[in-house]
Amino acid sequence: MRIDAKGAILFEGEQVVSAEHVRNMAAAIGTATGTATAALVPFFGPTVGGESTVTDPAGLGLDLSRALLAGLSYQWARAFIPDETVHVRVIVDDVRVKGGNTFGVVAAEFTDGGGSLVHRQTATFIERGAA
Amino acid sequence: MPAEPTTPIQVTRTRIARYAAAVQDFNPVHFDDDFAVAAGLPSVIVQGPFTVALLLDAVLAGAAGPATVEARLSAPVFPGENLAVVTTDTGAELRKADGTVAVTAVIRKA
Repeated sequence: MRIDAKGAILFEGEQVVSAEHVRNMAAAIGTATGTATAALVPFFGPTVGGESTVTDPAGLGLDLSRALLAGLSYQWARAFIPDETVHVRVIVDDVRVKGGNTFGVVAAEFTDGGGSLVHRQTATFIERGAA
Repeated sequence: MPAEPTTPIQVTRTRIARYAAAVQDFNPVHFDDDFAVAAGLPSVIVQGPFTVALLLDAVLAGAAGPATVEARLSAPVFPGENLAVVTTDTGAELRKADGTVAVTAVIRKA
């Protein structure tokens, strides 16, 4: 993980929350209430712009062979609406080293066409120290 | 008030693949056993955000969404494991059949 990556923008752009995307997520959840849940969590922030944004040495530089996801935080103003377009900004919120491991926090913020927050999420990765 | 566990949840490799395709998460630790073993795991693991989504689905059951969720992923979940969601005073836990807590979520309503 790149220890000086804090503040790096991993992705910024528009994203359509297609009804098909929500249906696919609901199918993975696989319950009668899956569609409502899918509208809350249709995205995993670190992969919105393609997973290469977190593995790219110029991005977070995460080594997937030594990394695990340790935590997630979600904040909603509302659920996503199928077929709406949102603006997404994914950044490296923090990188710190503790006990030989490196912790990287990726934050993704989703705003609507008027600039109002729809959803914010952070994902905390732990990358074990190299053997 | 803590409640009884929900109906058991089992995540198959097919569901892992469906989730991976939905969020475009192609980390090989979720589908390549050789990669997972080389990383020190017994097999591929279920995506952490997927386990949290399953927990939220069981807790909310289609009701209005929460304002915030803070989830700590404390143990990897493997394909075929039987899981249950147990509500707690502050949110819910996703537990394995042996009682291991895989996900602890603090859930705050709007």
